[in-house]
Amino acid sequence: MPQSSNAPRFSLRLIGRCAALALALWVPAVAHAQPAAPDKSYLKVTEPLGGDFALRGYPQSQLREILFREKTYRPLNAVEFIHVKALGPKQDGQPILMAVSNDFMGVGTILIAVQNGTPLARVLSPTVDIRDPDMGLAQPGRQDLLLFTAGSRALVTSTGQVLWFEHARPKEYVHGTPLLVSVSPDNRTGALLLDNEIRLSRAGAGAYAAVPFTKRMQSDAFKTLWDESSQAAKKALDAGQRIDQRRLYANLKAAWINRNFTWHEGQDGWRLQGRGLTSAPLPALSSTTSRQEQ
Amino acid sequence: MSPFTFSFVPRIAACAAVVLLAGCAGSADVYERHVRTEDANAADVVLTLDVAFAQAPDYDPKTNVYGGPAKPGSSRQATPERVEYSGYPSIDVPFYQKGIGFDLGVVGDPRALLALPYPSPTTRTTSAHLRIFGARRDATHYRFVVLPRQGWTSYQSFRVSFAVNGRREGMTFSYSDKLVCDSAFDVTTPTYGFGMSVAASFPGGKPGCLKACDERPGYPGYCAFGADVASVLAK
Repeated sequence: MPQSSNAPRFSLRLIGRCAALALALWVPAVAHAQPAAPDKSYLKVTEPLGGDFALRGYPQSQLREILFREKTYRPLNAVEFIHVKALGPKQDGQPILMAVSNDFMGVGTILIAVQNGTPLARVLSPTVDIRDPDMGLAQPGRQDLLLFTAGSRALVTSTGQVLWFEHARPKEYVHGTPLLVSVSPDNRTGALLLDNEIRLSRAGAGAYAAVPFTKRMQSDAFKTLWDESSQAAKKALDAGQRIDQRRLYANLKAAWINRNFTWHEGQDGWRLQGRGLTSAPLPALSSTTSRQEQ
Repeated sequence: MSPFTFSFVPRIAACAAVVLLAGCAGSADVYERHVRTEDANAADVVLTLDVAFAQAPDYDPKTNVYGGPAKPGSSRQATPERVEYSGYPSIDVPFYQKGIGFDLGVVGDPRALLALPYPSPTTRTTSAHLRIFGARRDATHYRFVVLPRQGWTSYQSFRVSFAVNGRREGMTFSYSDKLVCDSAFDVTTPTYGFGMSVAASFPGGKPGCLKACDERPGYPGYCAFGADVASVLAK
């Protein structure tokens, strides 16, 4: 009786094993038979950016094209961007964008705002550097102001307003390159660091005053900043990155001026004070002194 | 006459006309061609642009005359007289011309003296400019006219170039006389942020469209790719 009952039980077990084996062999076959989700990473994807703006690019690439109403928008004829960000404020119902172009056909850091239904670009920084793009220096003590020191421009991020300050007076030759180091609290006046002074300039009206922050004082004050920038550049190079040490040095100078000088409003415009110095109105420009002696 | 031949014959005629008219590619200008708005022939005007600048642009007009008839006693040859203006706001209008040029192809091996050179026709595009200086109304108000150039096709765009205290600035616009939009607006320039308010009018009081556009760096008067009026209005 046990013999007779054992035989069918054995065969049942065998069938069970065979079925399990068959199932094990069959399951991958089923998985293969179902169409696998195709790899779409070679296709460009579009992501909205707010308003009528969108970004398009390959998912595995950093580079993005800007679309405006589903058509490629080429600000200053640049095509691809390594960084595009919508700032908070809007103009003409469309967001204001800050973008950094790729180095091919590059235009540097730009601001895109819609004027009269047309997106138009403005240059913030002409630096074309995708390893260390110029994203501006947040002015110490200000939440919403980015300084682009080399081009004498600043961006008010809360309104999208671009400021530019003239350092030279009409027909005046100024030796050296100005650096925009600080903007007054009302965004109407900028302080520009020149070789031998800090000039104060009103937007749309030009330079009107100067702080006698001379070459000697500058070299004393900025010595440590140069060492700091060179240490930072060395550290970055050891970490396999490249940074623009010249721009870092300029930004450190701007930060130092903001820590050491303060803006005061007077009856004849803003004054800059600090380090025992104060701004004085520029002398009247005569034809003989139009070439500034350094 | 069947409708087929009715539509076919003018098409062949048009094709033949195109082939006949497509001459050799013109050569680009050696010198800039300058015109003053005051000297423009009113019948030629394509567009009149009134500009009010927020800050008075530099105004120091200069006229230079080059060439002219040979002077007695001088070794200089007689050349066509050419006048150039400078020192005040102007517009830069680019043009192009498509024509047939020839590339030289070679059959065979040039080293074996068995080569046969042959001309192979290709299309050539050449470009030219016209610089039109504005008419000054007062320190901040200027009027410009856009003019055509004989034998050249316009890109339908131009750049208003001016300087404020020596800072050179330009704003590029595209226009169309086929499409309609509001052609009077305020705009801020790209480099230094100078404000300007522009109003375009088309000859005969016809409607048209003027739009600001991004420039192509290095190509004055050209809009960035895809920024012409038709593309912008299609958005």
